[in-house]
Amino acid sequence: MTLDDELRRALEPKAPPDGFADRVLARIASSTAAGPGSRSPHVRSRLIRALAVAAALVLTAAATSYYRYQLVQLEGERAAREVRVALTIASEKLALAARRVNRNDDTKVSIREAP
Amino acid sequence: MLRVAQPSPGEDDDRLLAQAVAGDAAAFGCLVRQHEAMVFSLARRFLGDDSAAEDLAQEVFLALHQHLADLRTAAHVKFWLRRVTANRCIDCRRRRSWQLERSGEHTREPAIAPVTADFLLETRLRALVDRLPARARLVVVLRYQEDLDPAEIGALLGMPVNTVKSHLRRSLAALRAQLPAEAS
Amino acid sequence: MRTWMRGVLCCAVLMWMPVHAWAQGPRLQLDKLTRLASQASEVTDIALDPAMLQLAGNFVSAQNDDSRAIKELLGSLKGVYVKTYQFDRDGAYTAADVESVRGQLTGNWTRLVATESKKEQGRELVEIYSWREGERMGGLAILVAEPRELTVVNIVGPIDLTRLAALRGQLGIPNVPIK
Repeated sequence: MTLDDELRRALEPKAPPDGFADRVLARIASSTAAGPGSRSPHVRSRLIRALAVAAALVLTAAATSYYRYQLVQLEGERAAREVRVALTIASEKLALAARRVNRNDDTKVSIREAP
Repeated sequence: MLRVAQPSPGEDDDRLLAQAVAGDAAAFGCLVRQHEAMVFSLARRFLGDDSAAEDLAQEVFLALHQHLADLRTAAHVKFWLRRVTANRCIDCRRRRSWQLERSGEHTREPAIAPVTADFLLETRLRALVDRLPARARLVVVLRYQEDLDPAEIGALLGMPVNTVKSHLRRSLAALRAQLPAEAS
Repeated sequence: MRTWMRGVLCCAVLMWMPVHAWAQGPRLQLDKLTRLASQASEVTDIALDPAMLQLAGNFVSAQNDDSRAIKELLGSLKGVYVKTYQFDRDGAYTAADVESVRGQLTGNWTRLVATESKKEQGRELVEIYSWREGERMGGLAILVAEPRELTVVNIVGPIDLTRLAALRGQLGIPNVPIK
C-alpha cells in the first residue's frame, strides 16, 4: 500500500460525538425563538426597520476602513506565509549543501562564514 | 426541541437543500448529518481537540443556517462548508494561539514515541500529520481526507496551485522521512 | 547658470552612484530567470523587500518555537528573494541562466561552499556565497542547479547560518545535522 493510500486511511473522516446534530438544531432553535414580553408585530417591524437603517448607516461608515484593514491583514498574512516558505527553502538548500560536502569529504566540513 | 430526521436512501440532495432553505428544520437536520463528519474531522485534525472541534463545527453549521438562502446546490453547500471550516480553523488558531498539535499537549492521540514497528502505521501517520505546519497540514487533510485535487484546494483556500503542490510535496517528503523504512 | 546646474546634477549623480552600488551589492538581479516560469511545472517566486518583511514580522506570532525562530531570523533582514523552478525534463534551463546569477557573485561576495557532482540524472551544482563589507556580513546567496530544478535564494542583511540551518528541524521537517 502506498503512502497516499495509508494517508487516506489514516485521515478518514471521523464522526462527531453522539447527538451533535441535535445540539446544533437546539442552538439554532434557541437563537431564533422570540423572548418573553415581545412587542406587537407592527411596532416590532417599525422598530426593526429603524434599527436596520441605523445599522446600515453605521456599517457603511465602517465598511471602508474595515475593508482597508482586511487588505492589510491579507497582505500581512501572505507575507508571513512567504517568509516561512522562503526560509524553509533556504534551510533545505543549506542542508543539501552540507550533505554534498560531507559526502565528498572524509573530514566533516562545516558551513561557516569566511574569516 | 427539533429532532433530526434520518436521511432517507436516494434523497435528492438539491431538493433537500431547497426544503431546508424553505424553512424545513428536519431537512436542515439531514444536511447537518450529511456533512457533520467532514466538518468535525477537518476541525479535529486542525485543532487537535474534540471539544474545540465540536464548538467550531457547531459554529459552522449555525453559519450555514444563516446563509442557506445564498447557496444554490448541494455541491455549493459542500464547497461552502469546507471553505468556512478551513477559514474558521485558521482564525481560531490565530485567535486562541493554539500550541502546535505536534507538541502532543492538546490531542487525545497517544504521545509521539520513537518510531518502532509496534505502533500502528495509521496512528503514527496521524501524529506526524498533526506535527506539520498549520497550512501544510490543512492542505494534506483536504487532499487525503476530502480527496480534493490541488486546484480544488487552491480555490478553497485562496492559495496558488503551485503553493498547494509545494506544501504537498514537502509534507509528503517529511512524512516519508519520518516513517520506518519498511512502512514507507 | 545652466553650466552651474549641470555641475550640481553631475555631482549629485556621482554621489548617488556609490551609495546605490553599495545598496545593490547584497541584492542579486534575478529578472533574467523569470523567462523559465513558462517552462516550469512548479514555480516559487518570493520577493520580500524591507517593507514586506516588516509587515510579515508583525504577522508571525512568537507563540510557538518555529514562529519564534522565524521572527528572530527576520529581525535583522532587509530582503528575502527566492526563485525556484522545477521542470518535467532535463535541460530546461541553460548554463547561461546559471551564469546570469553566478556572474553577479563577485567583488564583495565570497564563496563559502561549492560542490559539483555528476549523477546518472545529470550534473548538480550547489554553491553558497556570503556578502561582506569589511567585518560586516550583509547577505547570503544560495545557488542550487539540479537536472530538473533551479533554485536561487538571496537574503539581504546579516543572517545567522546556523540558525537558518536549524530551522528545518523546527518546521516538522527532518533535520539533517550540519556539523
